[in-house]
Amino acid sequence: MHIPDGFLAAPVWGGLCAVSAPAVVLAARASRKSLDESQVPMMGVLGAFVFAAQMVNFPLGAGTSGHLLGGALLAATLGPAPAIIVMTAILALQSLVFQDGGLLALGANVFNMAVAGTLAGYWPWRALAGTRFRKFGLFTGGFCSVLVCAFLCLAELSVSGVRFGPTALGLALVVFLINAVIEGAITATVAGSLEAMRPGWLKAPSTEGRPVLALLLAFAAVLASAGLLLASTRPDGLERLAQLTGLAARQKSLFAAPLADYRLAVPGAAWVGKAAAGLTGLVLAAAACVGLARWFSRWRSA
Amino acid sequence: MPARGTLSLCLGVLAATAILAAGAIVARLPVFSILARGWVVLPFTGVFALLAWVEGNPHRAVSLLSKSWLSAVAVVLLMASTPLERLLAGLEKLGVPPLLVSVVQFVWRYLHVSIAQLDRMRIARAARGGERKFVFATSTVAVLFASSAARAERVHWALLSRGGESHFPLLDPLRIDRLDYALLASALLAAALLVVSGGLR
Repeated sequence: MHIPDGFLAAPVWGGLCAVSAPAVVLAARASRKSLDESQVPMMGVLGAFVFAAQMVNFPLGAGTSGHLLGGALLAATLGPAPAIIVMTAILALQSLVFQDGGLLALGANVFNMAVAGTLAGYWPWRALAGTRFRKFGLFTGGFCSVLVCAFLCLAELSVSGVRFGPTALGLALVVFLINAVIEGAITATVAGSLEAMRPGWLKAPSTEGRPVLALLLAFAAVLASAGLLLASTRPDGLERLAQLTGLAARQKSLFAAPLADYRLAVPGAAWVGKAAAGLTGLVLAAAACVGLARWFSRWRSA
Repeated sequence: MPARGTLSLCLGVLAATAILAAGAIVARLPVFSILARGWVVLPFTGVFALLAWVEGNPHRAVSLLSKSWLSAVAVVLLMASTPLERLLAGLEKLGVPPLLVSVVQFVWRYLHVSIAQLDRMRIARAARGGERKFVFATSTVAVLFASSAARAERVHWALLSRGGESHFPLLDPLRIDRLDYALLASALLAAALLVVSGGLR
């Protein structure tokens, strides 16, 4: 799922760099606040562990094998903000030293795997850690993290003009779905063994917070990324949906004005408008989901 | 029109290759081996390039391959000419969070230790007639996690016993001199030219 250079359009990788950089800075600040100095070697050595663990082959029968990605496992053991930092460090090293993922595409890869993937892996665990469905929370965490990464990765590629036929897209989705189940299974079983060895390793977050909010956030992340993928591969479908629901008039005033200016400013570069529309769509979808989740949890607790 | 597009693409690729080769020569590195190492991106890019070619768009296939190859060669050149710790120190000066820089340094330092341990575990399992089973892979990862956590604790004590923080100092400090300014200026100029000429498309 590491995107190399040369695939993403300049506004896509540039925009995602502009999103990832402050996210990573915020995560660094949050982990500085929640951790003491002794945790820095812990983060680093566990990063090396994830790097090595990604090389372990998990046999799945019929000669095939899968491997761990580790975002959800790190989020469950270190907490979300340190996990984002560790995953970013791993991705940076992979792109610099192993040419696994491009340097210009690093912002996009960090956004997909380190930020969105880790958060999508953390929220189910956070919601279910205190309940009977603890193990299921770990499984769902691993599952969601891979699914969100995959959707975002495919959406960014197709917004940038990489064409998938319907067959190729369907095949990719099936492969990613299988990978997501594998990641969930590995995360749950490894975390189960860790808990058997020493219960303190899995950070059970205080769920007196808002478990419903956390679950809905995870759901929102999956839904937003899936929606973005759908919107980027079938822009016509989105327009028809808007017309059908009678939203067309409002949508147009929302989208058309800034994008029309954009097209005027850069004549002949239609993909700029397309890419900008895709990114705007992502932001709007995510904001709508978060708002809905907030409202729902307030309604529940009231 | 397509012929002209292909011609300018080839010229651009040649020019970029020449710049990278010149960089390798200035850094006294083996030019051909640096250029050859860019092909590690081939497995991923090749699939998409092949798809584009089959779709009847050879121009796009060539541009995809050459762009990701050039980019990989540039990264190989950067890493071959700049030690990682100097690169990271520079990034820290540019505003990358110190925590992230420290974590990257720790990951890089202990990566080979972890991989070596994984290898020892694999050999030990094979020597005891271990089968390839999902459960065994799971416990391998869990044990690796446990020993990594223990190692992190030992590393922390070792750092404390040296009275240090978890920060890696450089032996000779970074300076910026005329050559760096010239490089920065030419990079900005090249980027501006690319944008103006529409080469980013």
